Amino acid sequence: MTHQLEEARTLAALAGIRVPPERKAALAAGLAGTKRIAESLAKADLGWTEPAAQFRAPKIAGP
Amino acid sequence: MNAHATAALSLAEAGRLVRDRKLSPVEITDACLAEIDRLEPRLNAFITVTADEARQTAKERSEEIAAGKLLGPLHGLPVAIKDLFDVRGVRMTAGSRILAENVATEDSETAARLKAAGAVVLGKLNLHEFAFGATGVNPHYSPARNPWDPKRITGGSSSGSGAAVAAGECLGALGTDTGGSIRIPASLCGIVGLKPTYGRVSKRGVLPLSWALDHIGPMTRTVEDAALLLRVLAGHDPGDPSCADQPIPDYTRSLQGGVRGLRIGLPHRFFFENVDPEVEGAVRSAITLLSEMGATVSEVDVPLIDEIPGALTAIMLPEALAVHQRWLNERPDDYGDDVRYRLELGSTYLGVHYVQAQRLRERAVRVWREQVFSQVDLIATPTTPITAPLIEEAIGSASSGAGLQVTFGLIRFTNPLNFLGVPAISVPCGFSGDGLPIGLQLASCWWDEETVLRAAHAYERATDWHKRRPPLAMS
Repeated sequence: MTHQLEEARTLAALAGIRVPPERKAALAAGLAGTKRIAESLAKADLGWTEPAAQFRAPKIAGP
Repeated sequence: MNAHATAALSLAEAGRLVRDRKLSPVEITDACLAEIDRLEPRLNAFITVTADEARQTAKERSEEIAAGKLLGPLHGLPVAIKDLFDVRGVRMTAGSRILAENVATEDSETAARLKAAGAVVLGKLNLHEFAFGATGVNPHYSPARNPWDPKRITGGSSSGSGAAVAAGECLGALGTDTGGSIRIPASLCGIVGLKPTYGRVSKRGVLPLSWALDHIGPMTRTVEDAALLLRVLAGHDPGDPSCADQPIPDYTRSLQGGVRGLRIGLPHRFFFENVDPEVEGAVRSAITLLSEMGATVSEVDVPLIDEIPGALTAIMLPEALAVHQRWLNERPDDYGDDVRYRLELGSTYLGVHYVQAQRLRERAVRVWREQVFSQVDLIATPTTPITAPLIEEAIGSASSGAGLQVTFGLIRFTNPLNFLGVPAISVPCGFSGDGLPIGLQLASCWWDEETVLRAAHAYERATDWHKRRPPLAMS
């Protein structure tokens, strides 16, 4: 659990949010769900599929 | 016609009476406001009632009718809007303490479209805080209560929309749907809820929860009313980058086609697993009826269904955290416990998870187009695996996790369709032994709202579930 608490603390800090000590145990417990999803995504056969969200260049009137 | 009966009219019925000058916008608006006064102490569906503005607008719409002028298909018809949409001059709280004093300076695109079509806006409806939850339990404004049993949740996040439409406080409402937030309260409150195709309706002026997954749509008492509202709401908006420039059919005209010849797919797994037996029985009976009416029903595979819910989470949670990051640091104690926990959990997803989830989304869209919607016109499922839980069962906290379990249960069958972005409707299809509504979910191919509406309308015409009124509304 100490290791998970440290992981949760590090991730929250990297994400730029402050999680008070009394909330860290719940967040650490939630890490198990994140890891299951991460493993599932890592196993998915995505080939050369590009992400669904795409940058849209602005429409600019031609010359 | 007394106030109670007037407020119970459908949008289509009321519209015909208004156009025939048999009922005035002032009479309908007064009837709805009277029902709001009578029922709100028990329902808590509204956060803000704009009675004076509504009466003034209704008076103007009545004068226009006298002068032979009709603004549009909703002329003089009272509707209400989830308190996540900007309506100029009206408080927009998002169901939060953080925005409790926020007053919108512009109309959202959808509010503007409703007004341009002649609608009378009655006020702003309760919701799960920041639309980030499926129960509607709100620590700041208290939960909206289910008109079929006020001890139970309405479902969320469009909780007030579900309660107000079901109880007859308004003729129709707007909701938003990121993981099921239109269809879940529609199912639990016994009304119709339509999530259109992603990009069909502009989101400009609506506070985001997750840009990639948010949808806007109508919540009504009949399928015809959902078609009527969608016709007003749909259309390209250059101010919303996700809003597509697609042709808009006349959704009300295509309602009458029936289901003969339609191919309905029954998912052979996932969507009927761990379902309450009464819910499963009602949904399977509805599918049998659609078959007897001429639809062809066959089993269909649901590819990538094991990966989709997790991938949706890997998109929704980081996007929600990105929306809320500043407030979460500046005013953390102003969030409810469950929403704060979900936002904090967003910090545990890395960039690579988000990108892989977006790649999986692109792949899922391609695979479903090739393997599902080439085989069938619709898929049919329960909207929710359960009927409305008790409010006390749905109160969640980061420490207990109980409310989160209710949420995960409620969104199981709706959120894959947000990931895919296909249109999906919930239509009443029965009641449990203890009198709670059950919803049938129908989903079709991208941009084909017409088929969803047509099948739901045919089913509705063949049944009378939608005619039942909640005991609380009748008392």
